[in-house]
Amino acid sequence: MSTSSSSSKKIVLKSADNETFEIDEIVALESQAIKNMIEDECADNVIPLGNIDSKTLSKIIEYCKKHAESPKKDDNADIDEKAVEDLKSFDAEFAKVDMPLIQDILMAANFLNIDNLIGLMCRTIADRIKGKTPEEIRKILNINKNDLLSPEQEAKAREENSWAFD
Amino acid sequence: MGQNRDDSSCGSKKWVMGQNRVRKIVAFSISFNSIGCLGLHILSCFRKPVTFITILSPFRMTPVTGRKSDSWMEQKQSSKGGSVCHQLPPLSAKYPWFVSQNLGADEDTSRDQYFYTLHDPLTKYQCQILELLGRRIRGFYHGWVILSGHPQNVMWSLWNPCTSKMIHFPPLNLKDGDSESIRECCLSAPPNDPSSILLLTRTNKPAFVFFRLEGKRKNLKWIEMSYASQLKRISAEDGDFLHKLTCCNGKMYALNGKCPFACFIIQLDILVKDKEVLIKLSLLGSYPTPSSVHSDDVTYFLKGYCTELFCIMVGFREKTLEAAHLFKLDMTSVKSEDMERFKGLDMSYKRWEEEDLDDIVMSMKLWKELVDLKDAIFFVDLGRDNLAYYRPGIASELGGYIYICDGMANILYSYHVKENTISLSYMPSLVLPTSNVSLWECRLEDDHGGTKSTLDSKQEENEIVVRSVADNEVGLNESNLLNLPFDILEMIMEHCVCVEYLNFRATCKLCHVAAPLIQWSNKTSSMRSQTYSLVSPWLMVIDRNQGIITFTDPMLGENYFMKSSHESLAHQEICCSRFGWLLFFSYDDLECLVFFNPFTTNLRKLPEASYGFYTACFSAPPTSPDCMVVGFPITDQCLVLIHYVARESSWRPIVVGTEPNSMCFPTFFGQDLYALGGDGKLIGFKELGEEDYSSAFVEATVPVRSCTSSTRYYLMKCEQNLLKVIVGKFGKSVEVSIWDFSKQEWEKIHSLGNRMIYICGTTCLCVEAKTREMENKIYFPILHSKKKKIVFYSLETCTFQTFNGENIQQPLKDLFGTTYHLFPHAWIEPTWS
Repeated sequence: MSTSSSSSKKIVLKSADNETFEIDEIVALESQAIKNMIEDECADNVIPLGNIDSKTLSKIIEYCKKHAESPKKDDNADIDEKAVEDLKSFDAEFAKVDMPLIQDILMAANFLNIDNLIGLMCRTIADRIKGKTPEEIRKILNINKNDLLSPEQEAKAREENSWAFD
Repeated sequence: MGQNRDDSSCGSKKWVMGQNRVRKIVAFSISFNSIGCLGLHILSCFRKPVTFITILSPFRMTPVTGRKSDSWMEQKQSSKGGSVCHQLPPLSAKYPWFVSQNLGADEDTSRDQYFYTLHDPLTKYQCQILELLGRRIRGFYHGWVILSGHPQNVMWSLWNPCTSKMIHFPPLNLKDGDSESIRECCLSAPPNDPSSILLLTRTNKPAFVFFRLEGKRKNLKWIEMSYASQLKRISAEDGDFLHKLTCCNGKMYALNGKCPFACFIIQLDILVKDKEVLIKLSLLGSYPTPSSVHSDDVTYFLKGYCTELFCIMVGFREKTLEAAHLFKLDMTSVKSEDMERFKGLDMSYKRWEEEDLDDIVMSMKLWKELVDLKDAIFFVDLGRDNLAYYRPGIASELGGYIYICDGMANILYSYHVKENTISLSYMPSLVLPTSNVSLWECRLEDDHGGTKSTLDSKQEENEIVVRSVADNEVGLNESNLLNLPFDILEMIMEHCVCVEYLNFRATCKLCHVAAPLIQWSNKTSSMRSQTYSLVSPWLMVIDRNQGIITFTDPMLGENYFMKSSHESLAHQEICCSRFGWLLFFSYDDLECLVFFNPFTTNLRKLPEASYGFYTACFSAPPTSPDCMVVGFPITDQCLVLIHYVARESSWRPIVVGTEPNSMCFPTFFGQDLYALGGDGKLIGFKELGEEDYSSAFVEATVPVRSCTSSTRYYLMKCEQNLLKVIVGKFGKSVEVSIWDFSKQEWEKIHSLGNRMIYICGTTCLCVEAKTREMENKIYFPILHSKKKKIVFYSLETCTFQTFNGENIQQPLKDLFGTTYHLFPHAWIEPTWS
């Protein structure tokens, strides 16, 4: 954790479409993966993120900035309610994006290992499929037809599923 | 009706009373016309045009008059009043076909026949087929159509539509001249068979009239022969009649009609000796009977097909079709000892009641009840005796049904054998209420029929649309859920509970793998489901045949299944469902009530009572220390039985002032219990649990509306009110009333506010809606016939509807177009506690 105090240090991230993002190290530390790289001293140059496009990456940076700025619970016990509420409403606002982007963010967050963001995206997806039929869920999640169970498989799966009460 | 009352009397301001909707409902109730009677006698009663309808199956057409077959497409559209075909139209073998004959006195319409199918309402043909002019289709045997002159049944003929051959019989001049008394007809064998006879039965006397087809010309004549004494030797009844003639495995069979005790299948053997024809009656055995019968009006149908004999039982209770059973007897499996069993039987001077019935019971065992008709169909007409059509190998989505036609009421009941459901529909509009319906049983050939090609092209269109959508999805967006790592998927799943979990799991392969089957009945998983509340109670249906319980969500329309782990459940009848628990009465042990929670499979037997029960109810979950069960016993005394589950080990009888037999929907109301009498009257029991209880309260006034017996009443508690839902026959009217405790009378209401009502024969609930779209609606235990979703009645629009997402649908004004369950069913509020 020795490097975490050097607030002036910058980290440069490069997206799949070759856009570079210069961010404070403190922001980058929200990502467990980057944190590990910094600790291993592999983050001196540009970090290439070949599987994250710039749109997704900028969203992720937005999230990390906000979360890096807000006081951490374990840092300060008497953290004010307002900050928590503020972060909550930020998260809610942040999640108001379309499903493909949510999935991209989730994938990227998983790659970068940002636990809070993974949790937020999972909750968002779960909320969106609440009270929906499998068909509707497929539409929402844009599930590829090729990945569907064959009619027989689906029938069997549904049956199996439906027996879950048993 | 229509007065504005002080809202305080009904305890809530959300009730909207006395609005102008009354008019609409009255209009509904008038439009319903019930003509209950059945039977052939009807035919002679109508002076107006009488339409006969017969269903056709595909066959090869032989042009009768000069029309060319390439003009079919035009003629298809002609039914609205253009040209008329003079030959048989090309009827696709995909469907069963009906033909409607209009045989009235009206010259313009009486010549026409309409060919139509239930499955493609747009395809119908208007025809004037020469062979059918002035003749009525009476039946189909061995590829031949039996025709009789109309209106007199004097001229009889056989017509083979494949070869266009006609066989005319000499005029039938009955000794008593009463040619209208001909009831049924049957052709025993193909006309070229030396023993072939055309056999007729009569309505006014136990006699056959028959005509032998082969033989020397001068010997050919109609012969009348009484079967009274032969039949009496079998049924032991005087004045018994045969009906439901059918052919099977080269023999003829019929049912005996008068059966206070003995209901039999009679075999008719045609014996030809020289010039003489003898018809010998013998007993094959008893009718098959289902394990339990609740019906008050039962009709049997008999139909032979190749070597198999089918027997269909159709049962009505209070004029509602509530039971249908199908039995099969494979004649090739009948051993000679089975046939010998009743040889030499003579019951002329005996009574069956006094006989040893072992043989009869044995004969019933020859029958096998069918619980799946696969792709076959039957068609029976309640108004005509010998019309039971059987056809295996219809397109599979159309198969599996017994179509039951009530021509007088213009209703078609479609009974799905496997699902044990009945769909209500009207007969097509071209069929008059006086129409007589049957299926065309001649062999059909699957021609290049117009119907087929239109249907196929429609399907293809759909497929193409679906595919292009799928392609777009893939093309536009590569990202999808399946790119997510497994553990991420699992994390999403953790946020899903119960139904959502199941649905998510069903979406795709990976989800299916990522989400393990959760045993919702387990303690661990119940942790998350306990806090979870469903938007709506579910409809639970117990498939006794397969031992499967189905739950249907009214909102999503999804089905969930459960294997009935308790064998005995298959033999039990639900009497009440509350708090996620079911109260059953067991058929095995009529005096025993059983609590069952299907979600935890918790089963609790109640102590045996010394009576069976009409109905019963309970005040709290059986796990609660306050749970009181009240049962209405089957007895002449005015008793109710009370049992506190947690405190007592037996039932306590309490004398009340009223007989419990017609009681339904017993409903706890604080310390009191209310129930509805058979006529919808409110019956109350004050402080029922108290020791010194002695009297009951009965509503003094008879309901204002003069109700037919087919009106259904439902009683439920809603907060501090008692509500009654009144549903007219086939949902022609739906009303909600609230009990005014101070005035002691029912008052009609027009809105439920934010509440919703669930009704069925065993459970009535009124609860606050959790979502806006669900409120102010009455949910029926009924499915939309096409959409298979639960139907509700909206008090706002006064129509029946379903939830179905984006698709806009035509609301229903009554329950035609819907399907009801015959299996035991109830609304249940799932609980894992």
